[in-house]
Amino acid sequence: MSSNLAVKIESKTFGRDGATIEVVKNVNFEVAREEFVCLLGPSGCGKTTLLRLVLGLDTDYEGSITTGGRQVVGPGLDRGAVFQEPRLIPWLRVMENIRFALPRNSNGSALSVPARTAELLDLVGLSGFERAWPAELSGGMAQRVALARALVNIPEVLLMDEPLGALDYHTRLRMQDEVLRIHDRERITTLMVTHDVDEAIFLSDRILVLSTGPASVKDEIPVLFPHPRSRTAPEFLALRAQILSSVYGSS
Amino acid sequence: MRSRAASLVWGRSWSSVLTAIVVPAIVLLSWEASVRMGLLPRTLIAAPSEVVTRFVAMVSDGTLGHHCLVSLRRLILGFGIGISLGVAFGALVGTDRLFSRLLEPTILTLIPVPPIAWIPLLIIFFGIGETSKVLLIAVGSFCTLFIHTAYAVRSTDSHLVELAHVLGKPSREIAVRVLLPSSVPAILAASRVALALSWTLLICAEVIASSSGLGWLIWDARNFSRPDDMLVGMVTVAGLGKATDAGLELLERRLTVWRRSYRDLVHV
Repeated sequence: MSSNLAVKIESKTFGRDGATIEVVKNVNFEVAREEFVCLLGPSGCGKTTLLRLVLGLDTDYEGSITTGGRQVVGPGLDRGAVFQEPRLIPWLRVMENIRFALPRNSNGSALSVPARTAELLDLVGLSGFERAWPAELSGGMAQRVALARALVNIPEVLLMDEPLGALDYHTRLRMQDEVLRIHDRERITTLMVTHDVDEAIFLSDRILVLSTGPASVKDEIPVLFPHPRSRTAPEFLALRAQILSSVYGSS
Repeated sequence: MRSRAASLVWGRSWSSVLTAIVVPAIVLLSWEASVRMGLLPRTLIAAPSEVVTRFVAMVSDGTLGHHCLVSLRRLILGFGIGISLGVAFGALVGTDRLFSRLLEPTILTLIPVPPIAWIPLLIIFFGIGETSKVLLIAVGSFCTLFIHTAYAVRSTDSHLVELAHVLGKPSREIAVRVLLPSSVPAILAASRVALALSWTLLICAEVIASSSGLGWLIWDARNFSRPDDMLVGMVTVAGLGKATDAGLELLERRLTVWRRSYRDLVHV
């Protein structure tokens, strides 16, 4: 499998009050085309910083990041993003929020844009909500719209920063099924940050366990058993125990 | 909801309309009675019924209409110029660091000067004609909108701005599609404050230096001991002030339908 995202970060530091804090150190990994990889680690371990680097929001680091073989030098539509908060624009209706992600001089014909928007809303199970305001949506629905928006430009890589972290337990489980179904349909290379071990096992092809301060890849765990995965199957629980000891074992 | 809507008057229920009428009715009736019984001298104040008669007369002979048009023209010009420049400069200063450094210290130094204190300077430079009155109103509206727009732009949800960055939007597009729309509710609220201030400044300017307009009408009637004319002027200002504010309120509701706010929760 060819790699679609290659991250090689030697060091990322923040200067604060004259002191320099290293938040990421020697993080090297690749995500293959169509692969689903989770970055797993406790809060404050630098996961979000790492994702900001991949998004091109911060280019002040030592190392290199490439998507589809091209160096990341700033934000770009080859990377779609979903954040912990839906970040829908409150004064735009659902369909307008999805179209907001399209570039202004989009050379996609005027005909195909509404069709693509409708198709995406159908994909995330929100047909009929085209004209709803974000304030009228539940947390789970808003996050579905955010997912549709992230997919509208057909990105090389989908980056998700704890996208289900703010949802209640039941909605989160339902959304995990949705994320899998959508990944299965769209086959977009996905890198997802999470602190939820079960979520990582349920979704990923591979889990990268991060250590805290500075963040570095502590363990790499392939998840080999097929979908649909049972959250209570013995192999699931065994892997869960293995990961938990990897996260907490050394400390 | 539908049965509720059917029993509404201007968006309010019959019972709340009746409750609202009680106090004005008592005031008007006792006022009318006091004047008729000679408790209040007619040289100082006119009875409500006399004000109504005079109002009708002044409408039919065209004098009231003339003064209204003169005043409204000054108000709309001054308010329009003031809020346009206030929003433009506020947005410029709120979005751009260079403009902020260049303009904000100067403007913020001038804002504490009460607009009325500008009157002498404006008269010296522009005389007592229309220009000085329009500019006075413009100064008041500008200051209000400048502060509120700059603040609103800066208060934009940083998550939305970051999202726009992630989507590769250039800063001009971010300003137009994120920062400004996000500031619209605050700009509209500030416009209503500026409108109330504009009416105050208009009447001040017309009282101090004018020979037409509602402020002049009120002041001239006082000078010539015509309490009925004076009250007609006051009532007209109140009515027009309320009407122009209602217009802005309607615009505010139209432009902020996307908000689910406290107002919708309690139906006030």
